[in-house]
Amino acid sequence: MIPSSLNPPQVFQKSAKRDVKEVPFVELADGRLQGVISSGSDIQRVYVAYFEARSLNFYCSTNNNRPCGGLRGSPCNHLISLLGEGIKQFGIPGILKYLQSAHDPTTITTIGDLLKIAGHITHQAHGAIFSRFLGSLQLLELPLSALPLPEMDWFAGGA
Amino acid sequence: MLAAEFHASNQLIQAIDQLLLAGFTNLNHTHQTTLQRLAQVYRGTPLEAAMLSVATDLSNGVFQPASFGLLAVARAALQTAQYDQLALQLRAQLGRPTIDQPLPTTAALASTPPLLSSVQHWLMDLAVMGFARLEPAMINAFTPTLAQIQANPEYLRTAALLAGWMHELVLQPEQLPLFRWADLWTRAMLSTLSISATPPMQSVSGTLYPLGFEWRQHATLVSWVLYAVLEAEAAPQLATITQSAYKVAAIQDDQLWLLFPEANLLFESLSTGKALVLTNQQLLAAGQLIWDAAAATLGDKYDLLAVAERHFGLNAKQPLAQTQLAPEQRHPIHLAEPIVLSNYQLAQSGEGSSLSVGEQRFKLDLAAISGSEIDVDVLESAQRLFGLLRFDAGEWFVRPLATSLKKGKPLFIGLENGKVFKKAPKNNAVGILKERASRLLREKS
Repeated sequence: MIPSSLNPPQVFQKSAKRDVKEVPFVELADGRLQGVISSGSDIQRVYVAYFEARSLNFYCSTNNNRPCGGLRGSPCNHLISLLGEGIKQFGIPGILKYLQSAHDPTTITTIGDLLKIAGHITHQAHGAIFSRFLGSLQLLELPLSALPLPEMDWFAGGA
Repeated sequence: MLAAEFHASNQLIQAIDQLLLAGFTNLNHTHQTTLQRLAQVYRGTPLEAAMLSVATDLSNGVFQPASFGLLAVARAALQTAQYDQLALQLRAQLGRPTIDQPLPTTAALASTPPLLSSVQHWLMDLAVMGFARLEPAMINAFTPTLAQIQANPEYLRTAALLAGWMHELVLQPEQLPLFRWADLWTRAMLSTLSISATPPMQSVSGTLYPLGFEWRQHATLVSWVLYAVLEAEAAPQLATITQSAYKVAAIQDDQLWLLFPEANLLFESLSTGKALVLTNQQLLAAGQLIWDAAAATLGDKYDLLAVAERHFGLNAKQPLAQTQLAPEQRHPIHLAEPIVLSNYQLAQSGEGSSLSVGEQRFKLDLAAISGSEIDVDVLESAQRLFGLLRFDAGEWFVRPLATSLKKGKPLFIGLENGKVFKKAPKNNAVGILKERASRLLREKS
């Protein structure tokens, strides 16, 4: 058997269509499912929220580190939106695996199941999440390239 | 049939990959033997002395980026030889001419710029640790460097590879795709050893007949290549156009086209079957056009499959040669020979699908067309397709790019998604995120 240079299908999977207006940013990074959620009322404001690996503890605050008013013991609507969009992008199994959840993945199939196993409020804001969001937006400001890029042959597919 | 040399070089490549998997601090006796074999293979070549000393250093646990650079060169050169052999074999089989064009010279960097030096160190760390034992902290530590590389267009090749690979490393797939990751490691290392200066260009005017788009993408970069026939002053030639754009994971499907406003005209040409009249477009020596939509207009109607068949059919009236990649870039994955198949027999079995024309049988790249405009059912009734012959995992396969069910009405990969040019989507991720970027990034500064 001669091995393949191309993407194994489990890595290159298409996700469901994301709603970037509500949740412009969601990622699995730094041991968290984390992201940025738009404020329903104020276009200048965004919320930064996350679930941590293992404990699935969570937090939500504005990008100026003010705690989210909706956070009272259980995940607020921002965290629920974050989880919903995270599921679209990575799938429930992908999230459970990355967050190293000890729960049997076959028993967790809906966003409701995920919310049931969520942990506690951490009261700990992570500035890095918002910086990573800005970093990803910076990618969109980089110029196009019109030169050949054979290296992308390793990433065939899509569109 | 693959030649015995192919299997022999492949065996050596896979033995090198075992070193990358285990990590250079954990070499066992078999691994040590591989290093000796590698040094032997390069005996009598200009790399002889350097390979010998690298093999000794790596065996003794003396680790320097330069040694790993040479290891990457050694692995890549084996694949260059495979590429040459496969390309020759295929051209002979298809009866196509070969071009002996002067090769672009790539100058090795006299000194490594700091950013590329960071890349080399990180790649060395991964190899020393071993792909089987990578820790998330080691992978994440590279994020700030990656962001800096992405910001510098000169390092696009390095950034394209590493951003895609990082995404895979973070996801930690159940089954580590060792050969692929060793490829990515090797090419990333190679990309730090030289920078291709802006290649010489010439100005061309003439007619361009687009034949099909091939898309490539990972989470943060998307890129397409358009294959076309260019009729300029000289004889017709194969031409390609590439554009690449950074993106975020949430931008997908039809939205991807919105990142390439200048692709609109190429899409229109393909979908309406009208050729393009080019005036003073820039062309690289290897047949790549630097696309400038402002220097092109829609021209006369053309029949995509007829044009393609004339040049790329199995018994083409006017077969076209393809220029070679620079030697340091050659790898079997870059083999992409345009081909038209007509009046084929489509056979489907548990092992996949294939197209037969007379005695010749071509495996079909099902993954590339499932759910696309030109799926198996369409190909079955169309009886003619334009695509690329590509090579991976020890076999050739056809990746279809275009076909037609009705004369003059081309069907091609990307046709549905490209309709986004006519009617912008309600939920335009590109627009929303660019607007956010402009607001938040300015606000910050």
